[in-house]
Amino acid sequence: MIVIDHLHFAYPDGRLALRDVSLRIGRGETAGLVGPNGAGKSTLLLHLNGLLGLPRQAGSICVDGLMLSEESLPEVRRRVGLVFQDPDDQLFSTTVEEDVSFGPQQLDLTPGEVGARVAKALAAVQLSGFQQRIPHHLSLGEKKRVCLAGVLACQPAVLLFDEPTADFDPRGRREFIELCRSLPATKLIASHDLEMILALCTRVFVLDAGLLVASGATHEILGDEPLMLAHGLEKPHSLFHRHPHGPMPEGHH
Amino acid sequence: MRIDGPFPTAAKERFGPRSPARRIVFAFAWVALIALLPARLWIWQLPSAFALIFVTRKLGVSFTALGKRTLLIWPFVGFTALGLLGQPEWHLRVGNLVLKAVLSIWILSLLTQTTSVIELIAGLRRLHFPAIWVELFAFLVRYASVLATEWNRMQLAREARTFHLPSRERWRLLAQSLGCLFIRAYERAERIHQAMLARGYR
Repeated sequence: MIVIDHLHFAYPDGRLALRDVSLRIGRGETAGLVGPNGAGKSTLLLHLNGLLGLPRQAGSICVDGLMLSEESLPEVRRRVGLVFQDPDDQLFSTTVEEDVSFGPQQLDLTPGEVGARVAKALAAVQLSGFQQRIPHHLSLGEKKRVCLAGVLACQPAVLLFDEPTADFDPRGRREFIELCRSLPATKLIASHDLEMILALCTRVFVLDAGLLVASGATHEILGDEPLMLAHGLEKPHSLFHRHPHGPMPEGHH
Repeated sequence: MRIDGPFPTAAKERFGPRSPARRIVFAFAWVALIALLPARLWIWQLPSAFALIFVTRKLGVSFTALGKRTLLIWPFVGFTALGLLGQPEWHLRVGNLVLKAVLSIWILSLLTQTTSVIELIAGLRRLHFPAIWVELFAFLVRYASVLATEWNRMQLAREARTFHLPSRERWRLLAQSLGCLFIRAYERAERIHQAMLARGYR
């Protein structure tokens, strides 16, 4: 579903953001992308949407069978939905309805089809009836859900999340995890919230200073304390302790 | 300017059924009428003034609130009036300028006081205003509060670490903060553009 081969990227100021990154994510899989600040997680997500230009320096990106190129860019963007970290970056319209319909409108659908997609997307994030609400009057959790609805309305095959649980309260976080679990698309989640990664992802990639330093089953990678500490991360608490209301996480001994 | 929320009750009852597009057309036509009336016929502005008093009372809009809304425009009117001083018939011309400015701002304030921004944007679209202008206006409205919040956060953070500062230094810091806000706004604009591209914007 997602194939990245030897991707190399430096920003115009010369800062090296990604160095020879190669990874594969299967259809329907939920993968995590972890690493310290400045590791290149957001840069990698932007690349998957072709937002940093085509990989001219080195490497290739293939999403849902489509090699990222000038010609395939619009179709890749249709198939890949990116949920940004700060909802205020993503919610730029004056009403929720306008914002959620922004993507479908770019697909040249009829007003009826756009309306149906908006209603369906808002229902999926449990915000039916919010059409005429003003984005900046919503709570953070609601804003994030509207962002997700805006992406779902484009019916993407791949969902990318950049720090989806940042600034959430525990309930909002729990609701997000449930919501995310219910979505059938292939998902790549970049986050520092390792407990959430543990709850949602079957596989995880560790990125540090632009290098992919480890990848594998989530419990194995996140349970490897020396690896976590070496790359500015911490082994999640739930891998240290048995949860009083549930079984031990898979792979933990 | 109201972003949304209810009309003042009286305004809703008396003004609500008219579409925002009609309100915009009516307001701008009225302003044009006031602006185009020759200076010597200033006495004919009085019916407009009386009509505005009547409409304001009827809509239940506070005169104080309207007065406060016009504060920003007075320096501009003042500067323009200064340029007229010493010219032939300057009394008449300055008086005419002030009268027209007061009435026009009054009308536009009534429009913004009784019409939410969302309605204004819908009205402008219905009137086929150039899409790029309407979008820019919508962006301005959407992000004004975000920038205001960001500015307040920066000011709070600055004040939390400001113990004793001479006033000259305060001005320097204020200028720095404004520069910083500009850069943040610029970076945010880039991220918004990326978010638009990510959803297929061409």
